[in-house]
Amino acid sequence: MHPSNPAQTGVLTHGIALVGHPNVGKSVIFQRLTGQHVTISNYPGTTVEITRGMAPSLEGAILIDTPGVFTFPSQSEDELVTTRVLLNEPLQAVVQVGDAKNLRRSLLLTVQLAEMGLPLVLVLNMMDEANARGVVVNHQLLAEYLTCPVVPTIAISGQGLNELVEAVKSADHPHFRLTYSPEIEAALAEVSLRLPEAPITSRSLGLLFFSGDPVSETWLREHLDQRQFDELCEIRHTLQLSFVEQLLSVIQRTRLDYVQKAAKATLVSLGADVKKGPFDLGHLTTHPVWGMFILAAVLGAILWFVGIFGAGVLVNILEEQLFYGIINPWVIDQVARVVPFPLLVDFLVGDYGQWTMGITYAFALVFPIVTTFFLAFGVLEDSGYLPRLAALSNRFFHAMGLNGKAVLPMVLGLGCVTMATLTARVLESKRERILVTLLLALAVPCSAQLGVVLGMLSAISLQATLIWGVVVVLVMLTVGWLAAQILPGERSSLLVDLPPLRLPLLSNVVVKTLARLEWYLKEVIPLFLIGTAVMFVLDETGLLAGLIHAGEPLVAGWLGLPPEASAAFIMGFLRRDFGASGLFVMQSQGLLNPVQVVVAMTTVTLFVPCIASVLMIAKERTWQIAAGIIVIIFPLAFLIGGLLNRLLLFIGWGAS
Amino acid sequence: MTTFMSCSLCGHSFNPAEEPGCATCPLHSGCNLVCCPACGYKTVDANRSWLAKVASSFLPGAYFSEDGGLPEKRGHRFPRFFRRRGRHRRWHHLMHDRHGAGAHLPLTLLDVPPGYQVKIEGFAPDISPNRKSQLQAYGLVPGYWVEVLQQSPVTVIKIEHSEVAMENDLAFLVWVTERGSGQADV
Repeated sequence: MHPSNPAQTGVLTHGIALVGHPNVGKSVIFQRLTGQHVTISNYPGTTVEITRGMAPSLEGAILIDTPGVFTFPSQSEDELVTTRVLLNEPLQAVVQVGDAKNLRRSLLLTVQLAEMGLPLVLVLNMMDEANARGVVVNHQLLAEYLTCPVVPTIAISGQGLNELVEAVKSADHPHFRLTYSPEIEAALAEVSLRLPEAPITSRSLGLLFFSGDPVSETWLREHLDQRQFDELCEIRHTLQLSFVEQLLSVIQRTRLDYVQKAAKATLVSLGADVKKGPFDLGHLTTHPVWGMFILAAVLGAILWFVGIFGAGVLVNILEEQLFYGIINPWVIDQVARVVPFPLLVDFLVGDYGQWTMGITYAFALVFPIVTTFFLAFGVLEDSGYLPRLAALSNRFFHAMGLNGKAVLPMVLGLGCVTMATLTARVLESKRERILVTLLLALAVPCSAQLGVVLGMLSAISLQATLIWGVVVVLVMLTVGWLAAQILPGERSSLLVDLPPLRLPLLSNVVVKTLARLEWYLKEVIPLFLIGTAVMFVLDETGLLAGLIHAGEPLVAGWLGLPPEASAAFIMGFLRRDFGASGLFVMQSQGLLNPVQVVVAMTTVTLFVPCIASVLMIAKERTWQIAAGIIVIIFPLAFLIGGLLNRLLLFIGWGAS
Repeated sequence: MTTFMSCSLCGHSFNPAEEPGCATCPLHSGCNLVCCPACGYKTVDANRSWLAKVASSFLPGAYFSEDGGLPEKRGHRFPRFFRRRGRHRRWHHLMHDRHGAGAHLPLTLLDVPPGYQVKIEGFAPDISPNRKSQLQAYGLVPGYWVEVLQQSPVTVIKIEHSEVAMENDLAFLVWVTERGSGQADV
């Protein structure tokens, strides 16, 4: 990239946005056009992932894969980013990916995009599925209705992509214009004089603003002074007075009428259902009984892949054999030879050394776990199972003031709480995101910890495992229910699209996993190094020993554990399973009796998550929320642990 | 409702309810079997078995044979006792029902038993505009036909060639009408 070459910089600053419903094959088209050169990064000011990649066939233009969106104004944090891309990025063209077999639904979005006036191409993807159902669309006529090119494709086999590239190259601004009711037209004429220059037409910006779209409101606030913005609000308010219904509904009705008209004219054949056998897997996954069995099988497979294969086999190879066996002794030796200051040697390769703890943990312990986790997650994402899981588990989350969509972060939390905190952004309201983050931090053990916990408990008895499980689930339900009562705001009902189950495309999963791993290396490893440095400072200054000593009355008196256990709790904050591992060593030395093991495991599970996830919570939400969550969890974990200790001793469990 | 079944031995098609053979049989009471009028082979009439009906709700798609058992669902008015109501409003409507006054209440998506097709009429007035626009974006547009696939644990409907799951409370806010005569609108 040579900034001195104006032609090249001109191309590089102009992106092509891929917009469309979720699960219509945006990422497949994206991957087909860009190949391997992709970067995943957070959209500025948000934590939503945006994938960008250079498309060689489009003269090096940057392709932007946006989160799936159904309509504007959108709801979740994810969807809002799509509007921001359209409003803020300098775009050369917009490519809407639509589902050929669900034409009417796709067209509602097309109409809104065409109104924006950016050069637009509509892709009717998954033509193979449409053909199998006998859906026939007259796409030449449709192109006339929408004043933009319409390209039928089968992205998965690469069919129609050359035509798409040609269409994007020659795409022009659509001269699409819907006529709204006279009141709205008058108001649009009035605001168009006051609106600042924007990438989209002032007409569509005005309509977005009238519909109450939060992103356009923020954008207008940034680009206008307070007086001008108030004038716009005044116009919107006056306009609302002329309708009984909300403006959004009025505007949407005009669009829907047009979509209906266009669909009626261009749908040559509606098609029929593909006959399925009595045991249609798609339906079974949402069935109240069979769905549970399938869920158990899927969870089991993921836990095996991430928990046993990733956290067990791979970690063993990397940590025990590669790092502790070969690399670390060599590095320690080299550092001790080269670096003259003992303090610096300790800082690099001591007990809490940057290399021996920070880098070793990041690469030998966590790297294999997140790799298997990202792979499993990628397969799940692309298979279309996740929305079905949300539908199935809706009732369980209802009690906690959430809806079924919360199942995603919760299940992923069993893999890694830090990663799962990220996925809370698929939820629609801030209230739900906070609730899920709290429950994740409190009651969901990560795979690394779960392995150690289950190993210790099953060594005692099945009863011990059950006591632990019941207590943790009860605490989660109670805290969830209480928090739902306290947090302001309404619970939002579940509404989710159920895509057909598909076999994921391997190359797509691999590319996604690699891009996510790159992100992990860039963003999470520094956290590990900082965490290790903090521990090093605590250890050197004697604060760590002080903290362990200060915790003794709590651990020994209230929880009834040996005093040495308090060190495990401090370590547990650095890494969740680390605390459990410390206790594991104590159990194998015969220092803990069954009651103490159950109490310790319950407390460690409920205890504050590792430092990486706390940092992630702070980054995703705010520092205040992270602090609040710690303040709630810390006493609660010890309270529950102490009560359980008293209860178990009282009923005389494990005495014999 | 005429439900025919075919004999698994000779293939003769007959209506088990109309067969006179059972009425004259001394073992008729409590019997789930029906004899083929052509060959006399005894077959199970699943419609007479309580257990078979309960089990069928666990076996999706495996509702007895095509021509025996449950009525053909599509294209018929569905039975009213299927009426279900939203979580918060159940009591309210029971009160209406007690006075026999619930009949005028609008039929909602939640009242439709799985397997039936209905036409979207509109939305309850208390639905939030954002929710309404979202539902419309998913394809629940007045005038469109949808098929209800399941009601538990959530309402799943089929619109065009896609499936949408929504909570029962949300389905309660969608007003529908039953299929009368005529074909689905395009």
